[in-house]
Amino acid sequence: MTDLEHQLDHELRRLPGPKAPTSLMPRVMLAVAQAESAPWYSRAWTTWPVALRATSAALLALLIVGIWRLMPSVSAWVPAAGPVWTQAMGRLAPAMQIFGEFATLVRVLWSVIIQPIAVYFLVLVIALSLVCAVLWTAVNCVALGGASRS
Amino acid sequence: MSDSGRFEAFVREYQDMVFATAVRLLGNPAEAEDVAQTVFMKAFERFAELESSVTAPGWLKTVTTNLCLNHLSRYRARWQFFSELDAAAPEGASSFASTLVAPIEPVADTETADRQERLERALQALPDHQRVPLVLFHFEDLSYHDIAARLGVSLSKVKSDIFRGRETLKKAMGIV
Repeated sequence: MTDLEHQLDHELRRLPGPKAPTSLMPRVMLAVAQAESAPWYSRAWTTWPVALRATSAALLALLIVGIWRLMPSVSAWVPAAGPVWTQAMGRLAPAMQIFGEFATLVRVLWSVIIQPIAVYFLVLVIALSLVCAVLWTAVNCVALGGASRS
Repeated sequence: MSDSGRFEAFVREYQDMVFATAVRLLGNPAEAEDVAQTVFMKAFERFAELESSVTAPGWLKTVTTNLCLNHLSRYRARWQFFSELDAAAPEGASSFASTLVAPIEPVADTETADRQERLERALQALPDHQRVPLVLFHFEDLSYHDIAARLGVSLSKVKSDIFRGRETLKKAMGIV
């Protein structure tokens, strides 16, 4: 840096910051009041209370498992539910057959290939996630001052 | 004091810093006010952590900088367009400076105050692609490499933009 650049640098660093307009504070407080009055379910999922987030995640998991487990029972029940259903389902038979074959394929792949290693894989994923979380928290606290969270 | 009262005190304490960072990066008080509001809304969501944290000012500055750069990147085409036009246009010719409210804190020495006001206006009048790296370098203490990485431009462009921004400021301040 030349002397002139040093002088400019010095002047820039001495420059007092522009003051916030008087309208900023009321705007922020109004927005906060509106955000607070909004019901929890209309806000982003990440801002829900912890208990609600845990409950909703558990319900979603249950729903997925339920659909997975109930699929064979439903396909067995539908043809026996009456002629109307049978007729309606008859039209969907080709699609149902393809879906059934696909489900069988997935189930076979699951039991032959994935299930034996699933536990080890799950443990590995959880361990790696924990390591990542610990490292990220450390970096976030030490280097970024917690600012990267937004 | 209620949560709302404590948050109001928090905003009062940091609003000038947040706004100053935003207005210097964006060069537009109205957009800076919008960004400042968004920053404080994010701060409100984490107020429980931030309230007692010594890193709150750093967090606010980083979030403000990130939001401003995001805001500017939405106008990347305009940014590049200005960058190319800059060679032809007279430096610091933007009329934006005239729209600024006089935001300078009272200073005892009138001459110093006048000089600082001229510098602030000259800084705000710089085109985006010169002002942003200059502000990141002088006010946010980022290195040239960091600025290039943050803006997604080459190191040589950062250097040349900062050089040209400084030249414009020196002319405006009579430092030649």
